[in-house]
Amino acid sequence: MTLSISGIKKHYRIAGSRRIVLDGIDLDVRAGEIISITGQSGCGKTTLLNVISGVTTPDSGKVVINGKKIHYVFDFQPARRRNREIGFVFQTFRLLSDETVMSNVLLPARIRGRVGKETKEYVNDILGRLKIYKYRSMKTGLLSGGQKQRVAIARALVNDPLLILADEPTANLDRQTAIEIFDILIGLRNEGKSIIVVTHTDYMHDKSDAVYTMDKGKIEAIS
Amino acid sequence: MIRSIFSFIKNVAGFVLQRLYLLWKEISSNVFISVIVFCAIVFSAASVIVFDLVSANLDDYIKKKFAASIPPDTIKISARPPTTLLFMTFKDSKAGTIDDRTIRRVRSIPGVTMIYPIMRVLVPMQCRISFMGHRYRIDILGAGLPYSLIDKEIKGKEYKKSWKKPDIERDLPVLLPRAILDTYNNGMADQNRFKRFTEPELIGFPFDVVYGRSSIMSLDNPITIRSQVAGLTGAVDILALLIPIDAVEAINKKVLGDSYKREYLNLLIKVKDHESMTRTIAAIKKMGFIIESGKAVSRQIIELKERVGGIVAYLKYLVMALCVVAIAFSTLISTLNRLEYYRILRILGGSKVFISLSVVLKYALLGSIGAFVGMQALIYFSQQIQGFLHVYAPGITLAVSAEIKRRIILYGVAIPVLSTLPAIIRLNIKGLNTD
Repeated sequence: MTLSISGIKKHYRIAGSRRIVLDGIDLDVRAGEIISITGQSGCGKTTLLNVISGVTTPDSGKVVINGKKIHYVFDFQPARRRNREIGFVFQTFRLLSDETVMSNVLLPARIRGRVGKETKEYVNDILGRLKIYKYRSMKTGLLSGGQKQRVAIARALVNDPLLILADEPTANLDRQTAIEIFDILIGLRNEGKSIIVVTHTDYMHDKSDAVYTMDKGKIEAIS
Repeated sequence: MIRSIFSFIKNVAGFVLQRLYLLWKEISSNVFISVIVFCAIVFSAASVIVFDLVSANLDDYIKKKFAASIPPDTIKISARPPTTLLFMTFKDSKAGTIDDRTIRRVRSIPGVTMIYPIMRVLVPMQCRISFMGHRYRIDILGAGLPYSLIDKEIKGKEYKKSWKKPDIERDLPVLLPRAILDTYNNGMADQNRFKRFTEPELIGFPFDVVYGRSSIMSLDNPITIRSQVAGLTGAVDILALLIPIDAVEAINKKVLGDSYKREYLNLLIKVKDHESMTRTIAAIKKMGFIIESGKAVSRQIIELKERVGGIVAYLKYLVMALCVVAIAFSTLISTLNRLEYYRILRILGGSKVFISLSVVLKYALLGSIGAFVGMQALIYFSQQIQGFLHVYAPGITLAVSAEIKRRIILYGVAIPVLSTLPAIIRLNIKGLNTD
């Protein structure tokens, strides 16, 4: 099992009142499995991804990635595992717009401390597969939305993670480009990566191994 | 095995290089803010040095011109009146000599907190100095001081130790009055094209002192003692070589033999407050001793010195506080501007500690470089105008001591690091959360 989460609870205090965002979430994702999560805005989808990656500390429950539990007490361990075992893709891309494609893609490898010849060759290979090799020296601010998302996917892959978390990766893209991005994610699933995609797109739901919906802090399988 | 060690070293080196690269990215970001912080530190470092120099020169000026080196609340008494023009004395001491009995009597006066006896070398003395290939013989006076009076002026543990337990068979530590150094620098050095000396340069300077012989007379059994300058002092206004009081007694005994009787040249008496000073002066006068100073030290001048010193210190801290505020705002703005970058870094695997540390290191580095540049600029300008000051304002020194330099570098690092605290707190409490 690549990811196993159980009993995750999380609340926020908003304007003095307690609001439960995650209320005992259980979820398992196997290696080479792609699951989609859908739900209304504010239902806790992004919080769930943040808890899985260790960016947000849950009130209770545990997250196990590749057989090892994430400990939230100190920030070092979740940060290290986020860097090596998880790749992130966001709706808003979250790229450094003043820096080149290559520089953006290499950033997780720099944090890990490994930017040798092999890594650069690996990055070139990824960029080639994602059809953005020719843009490698261009600043990301000058790219189109679809190209930016491909750069974000390349960045998510640079440390060869087991798990990819994609938070509405096609929300800002047109339908054709969205399908291309989804096809890339499906291709990664075929390479053995586990993928969690938060999306409202039927195309992705149809291609996923499982589809879940979230509502009032609960998660439920719908297909 | 060798391959795995090589691989390990390669990995560690790669890790360090990448961390340095990320640190460099942090430093080279927000150049405008970095320039503001750098300029604030340069200005602050230069201002602090200026205020320190003003304060030191003011202190020195008051000591030399007004207080005759007598600290406040201290009375100096002697058995004989001070000599005046044509060696005529206007007043006679009725009390005879100052001895141990006198000390006991003075100690019994209410308000007296401390008594420092000063003992005179009762035999002729001559200094023999080898300097720049020349040999000099100078007749001098000597006085013995207790350790507690000048402990802060003695530089080095060894000198302090041998001042407390002097051995006249071995090297003796000596103190020089600051007035002698000033006289040499402003008089002898320039006229003879000799090197000017600073205080630290004189520490450890060796020379011989012959006790029992001068250019005028020689006793039967003179002794020569190797001496080393252990520091300079303004604690007493005696133009004499200042040596440990126990050594003076031992020398007097050895050279004079049975004819020696212990007596003191002066007593410095420290009193609790101004009322005690008035009372003690009256009591000592009654005993028949001469008050050389104490009442002469104007309390108003000392107060003025303290007030001006306080204002200078206040201005110094004000500049530092303004610098802290300016840098704190700059770092906060800079950090908030880069919040999205830090968030991306965190999501991609940077820990909060690493992100915070790179911000702190950036400003610590900027601060230390800024402080160094500010200090060097001020030292350069002070050297340029020092030459004019020798002519137009003798006595004023713009030399920046090693202690000030150390302090400036420390401020340079501490101020920006402390100033980043609001930004770091903001970053860690809320800034790095992506919810």
